[in-house]
Amino acid sequence: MRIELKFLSSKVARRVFLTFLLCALGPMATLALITLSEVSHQLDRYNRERLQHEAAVLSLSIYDRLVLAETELNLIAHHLSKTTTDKLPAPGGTLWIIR
Amino acid sequence: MLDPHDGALHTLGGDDRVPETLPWEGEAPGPGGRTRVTFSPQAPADTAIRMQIAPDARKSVVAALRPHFLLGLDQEMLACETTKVGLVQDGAVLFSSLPPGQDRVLEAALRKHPHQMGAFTWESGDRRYLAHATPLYLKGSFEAPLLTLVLSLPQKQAQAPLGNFATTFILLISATVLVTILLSIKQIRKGTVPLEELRRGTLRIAAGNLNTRVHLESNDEFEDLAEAFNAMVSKLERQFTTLTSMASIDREILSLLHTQRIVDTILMHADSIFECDAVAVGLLDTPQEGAWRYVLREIRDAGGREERPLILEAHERRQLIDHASHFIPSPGAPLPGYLRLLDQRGYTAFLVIPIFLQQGLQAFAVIAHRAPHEYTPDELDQARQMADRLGVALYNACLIEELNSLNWGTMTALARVVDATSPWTAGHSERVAAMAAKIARAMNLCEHEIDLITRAGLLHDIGKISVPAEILDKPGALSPEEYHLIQQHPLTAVRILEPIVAFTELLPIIGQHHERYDRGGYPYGLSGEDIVLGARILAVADTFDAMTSDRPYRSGMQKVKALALIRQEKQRQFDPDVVSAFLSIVDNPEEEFRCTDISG
Repeated sequence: MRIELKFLSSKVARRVFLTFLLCALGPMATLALITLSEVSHQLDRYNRERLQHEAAVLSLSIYDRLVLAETELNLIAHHLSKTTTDKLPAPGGTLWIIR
Repeated sequence: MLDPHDGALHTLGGDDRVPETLPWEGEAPGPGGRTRVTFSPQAPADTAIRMQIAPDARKSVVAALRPHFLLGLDQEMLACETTKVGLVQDGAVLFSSLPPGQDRVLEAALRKHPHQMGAFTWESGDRRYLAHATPLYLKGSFEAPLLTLVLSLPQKQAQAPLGNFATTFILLISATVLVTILLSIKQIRKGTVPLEELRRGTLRIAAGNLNTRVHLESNDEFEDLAEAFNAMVSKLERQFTTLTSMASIDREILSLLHTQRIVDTILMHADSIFECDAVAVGLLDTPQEGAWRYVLREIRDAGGREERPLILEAHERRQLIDHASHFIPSPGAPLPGYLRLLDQRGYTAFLVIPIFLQQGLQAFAVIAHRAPHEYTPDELDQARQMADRLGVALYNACLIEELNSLNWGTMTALARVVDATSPWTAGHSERVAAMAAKIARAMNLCEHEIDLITRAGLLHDIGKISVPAEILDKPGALSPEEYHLIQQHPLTAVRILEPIVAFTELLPIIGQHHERYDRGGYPYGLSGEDIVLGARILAVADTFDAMTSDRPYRSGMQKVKALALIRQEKQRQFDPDVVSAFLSIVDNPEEEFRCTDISG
């Protein structure tokens, strides 16, 4: 499609054309800036809240894992005491690495 | 598994690498046999996390925990892969999933705000991190020091959805702009093309081209505007045509001095103003008798001009006087006589405009249409203007006719004064004038020349005022002095009439009416074509009337004899052409030979 632009030689046409463009671009650009700013702000807040939430979850998770590790260690210690109690080294003299 | 009985360090499972040093080696477990967890910073990736339990006072079991297990990194605990975890004790990073070297930067940021908990940001090179620090209280359960858990998220990743959003937005704006441009071009063209057409039409009108029209089919206000524009141009064109026609009528009728020609001019031009089918003018012919003349021209048909007498009834006259501006008969109402004729010929719409001069109603104009027609205010104004112009022209013609009548009356009176000086010459001048006019008409002279000859005939003997009646009426022969005095009367007439400018053209005719064609006359002794034609005609008429009239010194000659003498003097005393014309009149039995009607 070929766009006929000869009409732009008219002053009235140029004036109306510019008005059209400004009327379309002005509100659109303003809306875009405001929206981008708001979205950026919301995204930032959302990320901070997510980090906070994840940090809380991870803290509990760490605690849970320590408790789990303690339980497993107790089980191992109990098992060892039944099988090789007398042959266990002095306190602090022996190391078992369970993981 | 290693042998557990050799008293050395034994690995029961997991990582088979045995650390070189153990922080609690030789130390007792925590108070009350509580589990103790310690964190020993070594290499960044090799922080030792030890958990020690003491089943009894002699034994303790120690486990080394991998940071990845503790932080759950192996099981993807975190929602976002880019989120980095850091475990900090006393401002030192014990473990982190940050890229190598960035632990130190985080430590520096934490040192800057040693007691900072919650959200904060920190930067490493060109990278910026959102971070959140949470305290990890393990002392109560595991005799562990206070730790801080730091989660960091690169801001670039955090804002990545915004980038996508911005890209989408830019595409949307671009698409909107493109659509706006296309639509605006289409809409502007719909506005500017008709506007340009109207502008060109206006320029053409400004250049004087009133035939121009603007054709638009935009189906909007521009089309309405174009139609209004065309209507305006049509009206303007009509106004110009009317003005031109009016000016043409003005030029013609105001220069005309004859009523009939004035009326004919109006009849010829009226249709260019009114686009009517017929025009008629009624004229009061003889006011004393109330006789009217009705002149009609049917334009569309081949009827042409038609003239007939008209009797205007009293109520019809009253109707015209009552409607001094104009008169439009109501449909179905009885029509006046002068319109019934048109009605019988199929005309249905009439506009009658009375014309008043000083004496009252003197004329009226009728404009007729075959089809029903509503007369617009413009048409009424134009009809009134045309009627006023006709009135002015008729008034001028009337004045001229009155002046002419006065002129003729004056000249006739002068002629009678001259003729009254002698009982023998009574009526001579008027008879000579009438006869000369007939001869001139027989010679096919123009009206102006006939008029001049007639006037000259009336006044040809005015010079005889200076001749005593005794000489004019002398029964016997005249003495030479008396004859000389008689011969001077043409010159005397010229001297008497000289001061009157209007008679300048008469002077040669009067002064030469006694010259002979063969050079024997008086007072100048001219001959042939040197004598003006009017004088040659007057000479024949004068001589014939003198010969056939009684004189104190002789009786009136018989017409036959007089005619014979006239024929005899052809080419001698008289112009042969004039004599021939004279004889042709005499030979015509229908001619009243001694007619005294000199008015034309």
